[in-house]
Amino acid sequence: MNSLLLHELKRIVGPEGLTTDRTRRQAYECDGLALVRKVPDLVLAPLDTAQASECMRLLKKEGLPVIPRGAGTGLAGGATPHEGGVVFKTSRMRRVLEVNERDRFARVEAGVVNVDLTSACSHHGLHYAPDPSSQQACTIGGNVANNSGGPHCFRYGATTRSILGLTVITADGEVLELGGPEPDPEGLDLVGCFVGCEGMLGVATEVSCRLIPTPETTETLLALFPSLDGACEAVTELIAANLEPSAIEILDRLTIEAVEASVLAAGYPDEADAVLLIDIDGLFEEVHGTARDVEEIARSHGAFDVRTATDAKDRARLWAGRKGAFGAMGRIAPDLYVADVVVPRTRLKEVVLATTEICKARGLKLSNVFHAGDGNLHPNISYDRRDEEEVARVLDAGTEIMKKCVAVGGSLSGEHGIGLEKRDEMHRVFSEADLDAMLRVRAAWDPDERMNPGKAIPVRGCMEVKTKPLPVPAGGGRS
Amino acid sequence: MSALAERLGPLRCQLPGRDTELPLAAPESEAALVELIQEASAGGLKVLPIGNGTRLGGVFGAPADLLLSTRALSGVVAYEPGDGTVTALAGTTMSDLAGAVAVGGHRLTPDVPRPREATLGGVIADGLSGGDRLRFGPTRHHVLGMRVLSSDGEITKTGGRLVKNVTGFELHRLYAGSGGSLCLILEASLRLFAAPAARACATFTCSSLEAALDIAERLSAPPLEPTAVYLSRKESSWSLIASLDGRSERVERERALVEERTQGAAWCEGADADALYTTARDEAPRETEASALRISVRPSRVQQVLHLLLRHSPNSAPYVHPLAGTVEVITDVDSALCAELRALGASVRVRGAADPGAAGASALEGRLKKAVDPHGIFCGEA
Repeated sequence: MNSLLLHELKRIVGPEGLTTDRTRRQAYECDGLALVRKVPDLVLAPLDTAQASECMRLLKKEGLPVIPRGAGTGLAGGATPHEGGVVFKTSRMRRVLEVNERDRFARVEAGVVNVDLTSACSHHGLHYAPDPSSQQACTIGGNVANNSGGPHCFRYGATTRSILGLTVITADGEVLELGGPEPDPEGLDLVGCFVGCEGMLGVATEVSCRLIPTPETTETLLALFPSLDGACEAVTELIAANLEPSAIEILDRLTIEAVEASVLAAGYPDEADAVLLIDIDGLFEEVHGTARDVEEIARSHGAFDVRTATDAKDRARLWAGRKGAFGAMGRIAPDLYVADVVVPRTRLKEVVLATTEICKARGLKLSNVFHAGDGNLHPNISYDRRDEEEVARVLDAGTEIMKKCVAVGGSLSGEHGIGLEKRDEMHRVFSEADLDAMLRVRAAWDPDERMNPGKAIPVRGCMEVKTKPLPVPAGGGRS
Repeated sequence: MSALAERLGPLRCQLPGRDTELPLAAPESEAALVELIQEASAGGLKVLPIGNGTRLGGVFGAPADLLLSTRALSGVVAYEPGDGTVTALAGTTMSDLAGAVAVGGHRLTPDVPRPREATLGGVIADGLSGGDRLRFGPTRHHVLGMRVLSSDGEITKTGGRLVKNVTGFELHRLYAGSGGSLCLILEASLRLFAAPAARACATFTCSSLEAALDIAERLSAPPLEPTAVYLSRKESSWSLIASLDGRSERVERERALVEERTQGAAWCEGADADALYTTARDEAPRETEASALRISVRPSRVQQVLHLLLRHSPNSAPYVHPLAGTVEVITDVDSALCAELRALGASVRVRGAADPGAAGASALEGRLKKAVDPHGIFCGEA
């Protein structure tokens, strides 16, 4: 890399904001999608918006690709480096700038860790609703880029519903102030357009987040089922009955065993083939009423026991098990392929069954832990990436699962994003014209297409919008 | 223009700020719409997409050559109660849509004023939210996906019909609230919520604005979560109506909380509460020839905004969602007022008059306009 550029960048961000050493750069070769790796040429970590803008202007002059990165917890390869590119990480921007109790919002820097935002406002009786399983590590900026979800999105919606305003650095280094605490900003909804852009429109450096009051009470139910089918049917009926818990999750037997064998053992019973973990929050009277209805439906679909968390500690233990489930899978095999697909909630049972058959036919070990209330499935396939033949079977199963979901009216991703992993599957959901419309919008933000190139939208040979063909990193993309 | 104008038939519409009536087309098929758009593009005509034309105040003096209404394209495309979503054509009225989903025990959000007149496409394009945004959030949060028609006559899809979905850019968020300046909405999918089993409404009649806002403040403190709170001026007094709804045990408890925190509430329940709620909802000002403002501000600044408005127009009757931070008012509009409101951080949309202090589209908005409407034919409120 050009030494003059390095010198200038170092002047802006200081030595601690610049990683040139190959060994240290290697830590950024992938995100949670470990199948695709590429060591970046440089890792930049500005301290604030001003530094980020100044750096971006220099990178523009050199025409370098920029790969935004939060904590690198994404699972779809959204932060996988690009040939000759610069990883632009926000993890040094960690200040909570403002908590406004009266108007219920917080303004934070993009590198603030998700759970730290709720910690910063909990003494005001407020919390930040989106709660991805990685919330102990993932950043608010990363959540914005991916429009991240989490269990409680069932009631409170994905990240986009909690974002009021953004400070964004464009590929040109321009600083844009988008939206803000006002309910309906003037002009186009650029905040809504930006959230979920997977780093392809710019880098968010500051975020205004909507906060919500901590509920008066929360009741956590654990319903035990003799079969995964029964649990899925119960969820479909809960939705049809218009009950409104705040989270509805399913864990299957293999997941339960993995969690119980780990340090996060939550007391999930070993006699169940599947459990439904449900949070209901709100006013005491309303919560108790809803809990009674939920229990009745669960039992009508075969639940042989419905337990209620006895106190906050018990509740926290049950949820720690759920949120740590992906990590616990490490006991089954060295690697985990976390699929992320979404289906209409009336088709849950059918798709879960199909997923089981797809994996069984390929001799793969499948476990299920997912946001059942949103129809957001996470079929998890345990494997060993050193076994190339097994990797091929895993990827093939992933494709077949996606096909099945799309066939029943579902889609490719409920919360992890498209990234590199699913980029070439986008044609299953969108037409050429649909994808061109996305590319045109992308070009309006980033005419040179330097922001996270090669992600989320397939590069096609023939289209109206000019686009630069980009080399796909080794192992990336599937046909 | 003449060939196209001849084919449009006799329908005409008067646009605020324009001296002459404009031709209006309301095609009965998507194919006819596509054809019209293609012809307009080829002829360099400016098109203003509308629904039933109930919110034309924001396009004051727009340089439209013709108005294109989607009102003849109506009907529910898909409603599966077990999925909790509905997809409908843009010309479907909000009341028809609400009626369709009520069958499955759902409520339609947004609950906009005069839903018999408003169309789904018009509401979404206008960025209009109902009083129920206090509890459920703005309309744009519930739009799951769309099909739209662009100026090159192409129909494209964004999002889908799923309650959770991050597949592709959320272009529907860009289109929602774009006021017909980017494309024409053909169809949209919405997330639904459970219909309330019970409703109670509390009415407070207050002698001063401050007293009414003090009550509103008390209603905002957790764990109370009203569905909507309306504030309006009634000659010499201010009327504040709070609507509580949901499961019956919730409504009972919330009513007790309101009684603990306030005095002087007049209560009604059941059908009476439904009627009062509807009346309060429909009191929102109509967009007529008169100039008006739609103001959005953080709730803590609503009082300052109202003071400014009343100082400017002492006899005006603002219609306010104080806890959601929105104000609508028929008033004379001048640059000083708009500047003062904007200095408070408020976003201001001028209706029925030219905006004297509009910042204009940003460079990015200009590029987006060009990207989405390459022929530059849509002339809605940007």
